[in-house]
Amino acid sequence: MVNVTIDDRAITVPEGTLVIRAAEQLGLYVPRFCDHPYLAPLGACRQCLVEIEGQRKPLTSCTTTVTEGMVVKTQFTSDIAAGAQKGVLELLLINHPLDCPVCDKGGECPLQDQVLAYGPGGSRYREPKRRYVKPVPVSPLVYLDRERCVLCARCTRFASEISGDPFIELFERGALEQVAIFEDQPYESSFSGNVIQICPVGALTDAEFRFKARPFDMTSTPSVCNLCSSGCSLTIQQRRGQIVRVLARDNPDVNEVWTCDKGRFGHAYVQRPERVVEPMIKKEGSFVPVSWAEAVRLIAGRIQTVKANGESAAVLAGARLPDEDAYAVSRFARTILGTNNVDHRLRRGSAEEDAVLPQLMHAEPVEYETLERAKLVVVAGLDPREESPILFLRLRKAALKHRVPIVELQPRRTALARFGARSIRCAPGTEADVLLAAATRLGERGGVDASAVKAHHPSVSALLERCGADADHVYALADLLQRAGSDAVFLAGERLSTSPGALAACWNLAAGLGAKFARVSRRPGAAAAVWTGLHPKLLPGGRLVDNDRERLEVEAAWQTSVPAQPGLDGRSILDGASRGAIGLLYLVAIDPAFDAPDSSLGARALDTSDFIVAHDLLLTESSRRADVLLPAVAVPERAGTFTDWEIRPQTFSPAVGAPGLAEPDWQILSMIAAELGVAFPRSLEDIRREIRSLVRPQGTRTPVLVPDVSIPKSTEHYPFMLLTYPLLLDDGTMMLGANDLMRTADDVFVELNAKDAERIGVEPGESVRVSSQHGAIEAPLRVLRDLPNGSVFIPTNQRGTRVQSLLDSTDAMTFVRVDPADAGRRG
Amino acid sequence: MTSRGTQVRVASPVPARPPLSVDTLAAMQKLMGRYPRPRSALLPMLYLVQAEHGFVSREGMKEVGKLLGLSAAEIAAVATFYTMFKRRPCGTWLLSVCTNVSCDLAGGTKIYRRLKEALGAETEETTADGLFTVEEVECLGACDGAPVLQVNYENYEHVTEDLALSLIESLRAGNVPQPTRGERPKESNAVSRRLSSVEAKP
Ligand code: SF4
Ligand code: SF4
Ligand code: FES
Ligand code: FES
Repeated sequence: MVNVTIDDRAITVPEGTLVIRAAEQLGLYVPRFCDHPYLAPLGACRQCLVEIEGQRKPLTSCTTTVTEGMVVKTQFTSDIAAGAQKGVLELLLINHPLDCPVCDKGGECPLQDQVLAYGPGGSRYREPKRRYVKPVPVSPLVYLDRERCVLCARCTRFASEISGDPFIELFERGALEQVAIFEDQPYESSFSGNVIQICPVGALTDAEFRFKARPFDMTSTPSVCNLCSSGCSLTIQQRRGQIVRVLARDNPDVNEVWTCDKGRFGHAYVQRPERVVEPMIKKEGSFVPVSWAEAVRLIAGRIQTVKANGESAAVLAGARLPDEDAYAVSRFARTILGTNNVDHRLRRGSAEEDAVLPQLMHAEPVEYETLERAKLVVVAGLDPREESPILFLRLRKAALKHRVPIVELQPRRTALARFGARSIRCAPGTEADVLLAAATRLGERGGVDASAVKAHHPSVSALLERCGADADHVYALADLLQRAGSDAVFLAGERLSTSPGALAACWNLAAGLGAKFARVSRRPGAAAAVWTGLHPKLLPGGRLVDNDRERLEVEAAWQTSVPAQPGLDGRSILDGASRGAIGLLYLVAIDPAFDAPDSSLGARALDTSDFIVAHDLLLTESSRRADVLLPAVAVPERAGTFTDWEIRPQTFSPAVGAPGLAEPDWQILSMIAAELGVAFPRSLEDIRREIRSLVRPQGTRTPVLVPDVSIPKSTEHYPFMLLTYPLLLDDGTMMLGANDLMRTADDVFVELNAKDAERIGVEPGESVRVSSQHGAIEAPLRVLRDLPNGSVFIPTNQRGTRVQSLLDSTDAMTFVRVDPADAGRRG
Repeated sequence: MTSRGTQVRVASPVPARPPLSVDTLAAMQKLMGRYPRPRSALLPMLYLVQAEHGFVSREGMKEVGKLLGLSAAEIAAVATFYTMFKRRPCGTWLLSVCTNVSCDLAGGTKIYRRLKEALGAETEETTADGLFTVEEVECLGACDGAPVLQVNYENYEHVTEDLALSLIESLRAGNVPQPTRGERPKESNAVSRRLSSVEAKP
């Protein structure tokens, strides 16, 4: 610890503390532009000059660290400091256009504020100002006004230090120094909006927000992002009931001070005219608006009929629901519909998933911060930049700042590799082989009891041969695991659940090492969906439907009985519905007709269902097929909680009013329950109380059974194994209206390695046709170095290309053929 | 200059250049191998681009970026910072006239204007025959020799307008006069190559 005196007040701070931070601790604010707590000190703007005893000249407090006995005087007690700061402000304004009246930053601008507080009243500069063309777009989302820039390099440092997309830089020198992009190469980044927020002047502005509102005209509400499972804290700003801007809200535990562009710019869907705003009933093929009372009566009647006839009901609910709504749906299915046919997945479940999921809530939680302290992070079946962008930023920080080794295990090299993560690439569906091979290797050295991971499995060489992973890489992973032991962290993507044996192998390996394990899904409500029991075998708290003791706990809380038979999973519900075997299909915030990974099954299931109720925000492929369509409120319009991938619950309250007659999902269910005269929570508080009472204390982790997998072989006719997942910016319904944002979305592509591309005789950029037994799509080819031989990657929902049409979720693996597009047409 | 303020940089179009030669690429690899972090070779590599293309071309910057794993913006940020990296094709002979205080008092600005007039070329533009580029520079640290004119970075001190004009005549005729000190200047591409230090013994 170091003792210093600032403005005659003594303080003791840790060694290495910057003078500017020590002053902050005393409540003394030294003006600054370039200083930013999450960026490395630079000393670019010279605004933070202070007087330090014994120094000939004022020093920049943002780059000077404290020393024992240091005596600092800020502008509050030193004329030298005050004079120096005033001088810098006068210089900064020499070329400034003084266009505050038309500047977006006006009213929240550090330059304005600091000139007012510490600057000179006028300028002595009489010469013409330097002028630039303005604004220049540096990307579809970010506009640059060079005349206002104070050259603090916050934006460029963010791009290189934090997100690693150094496509904006400071060009030129002296009076011409300026922020710029290289010719016509835009500032492409999934995180570009952050530079707008940290720019201390109005030099970087938001393409959509420009000229829309003044800070003092807007109402700000703290909120939580609902577009992925990262759990970013946001501030939603509205003016006259319209959301005009979304900002990152400081939350050091989660998103620090950042967000991704999707969370920041992807809010247009909320206030679109296309929103469903009143309850509607299908009459002769078209929707007719009705009152809530009528809609609720109709649904209640149907529920009674279905139950009386012994027909089956089923519920599919999206993993984008807030916790309270997910819980309400789970309870509604069990106590009102009397069924365990409820799922948040549209695919098949598996025994290993059933075994792992209930334990997740009781595993020692992994937090963002855990990643920085880990000795190894293994990322499996997850592409963090596309699926959980803020997790990506934190992994990057862990790797670069804290030197945490990161190993990714997946068929496709992701952006993690760009900052030194080691990539172990294996054929799609063979992740388990890599994990088991590593476990065996580790077992040979006493690092883990390999037989506890899996009792019998093929030899290491057989496993390696099957998955095609590089043996050296797998051994290196084993070494890293041995060194890290219980300080390793496994981040398992949801995709691991669909790779046979992989989730179980990963879980067991983590358990064997005593290491930490977290499941990271793409969607914001995935953790809650499992926890609240949107799952045919799980009740709230991870309790098992078919375990009498656990079920009784839930029955006691609900004071009613719950069916003891596990229900149908998502895929079986759709199968059942397509055979007409489901009398009532209840959809909450889910779009099986579009999203089901089963060519046309989703649409067929809905078309043959007798009676469909859907809660939705918009007319989707599914909600337009409903018999009763109920308007739900969007997240910024409701109160609730999201539990992010860390299992950290964060509550939010409404930022804007809901359109028309829309209601929260839990409220709709509560109305139906009331109509039926069945007990059901009547308020958000009721629900929260029930949730709290159903939380279970931590249990122990038990290994699960890793199934023996025989991986189907590709055939001559379908020689490629398909890997697909959606990119961050895809054709999802929530991206409706986010036009500038979608201009930054990638085009659709088909990825092969160079060898395979050559074998089928197509050049990058040429169109290829990918076909499976179920369907075909066409898209231009891209070559990705070191994608495994015989593997092909296509983003799931990009620019109108729907890979779902190639899939069948009962297949362990999808095999496709890839041909030049014209050959496909001829054939 | 406009009456309402300084309109900054109306760049004339920069010509395209073919990909770098195999030799240059090999030389770049050699430079990269010289440093613990290949990125340290950035400046010398840019001199190699300039030696081959006559200026730091767009194609060259991209290629260097690819080799070093840096974005084109990062390369350009460096290339645009240093005045000895030329952004447009540079003549065989680069005439740098100092117009800072000492030289200006001794007639530097007049010499500069006179040269521009005689060559019919604007600042940093190259004459049609590709022989000359003229630029105005800040103090060259040789004030005792003011006014100072450099040809490819070799000093000609105490120049007069007439001496400057006769200097370009001799260069045109293929005679390179002896500078005030040091060696006779080499042609600009050779100078760039030398500045890259690729030939230097480590
Ligand atoms: S654009 Fe803004 S953040 Fe970037 S250097 Fe200029 S003032 Fe700083
Ligand atoms: S990272 Fe996820 S939670 Fe954060 S802003 Fe982006 S979409 Fe929202
Ligand atoms: S804040 Fe210290 S130099 Fe910019
Ligand atoms: S002013 Fe010209 S050399 Fe110093």
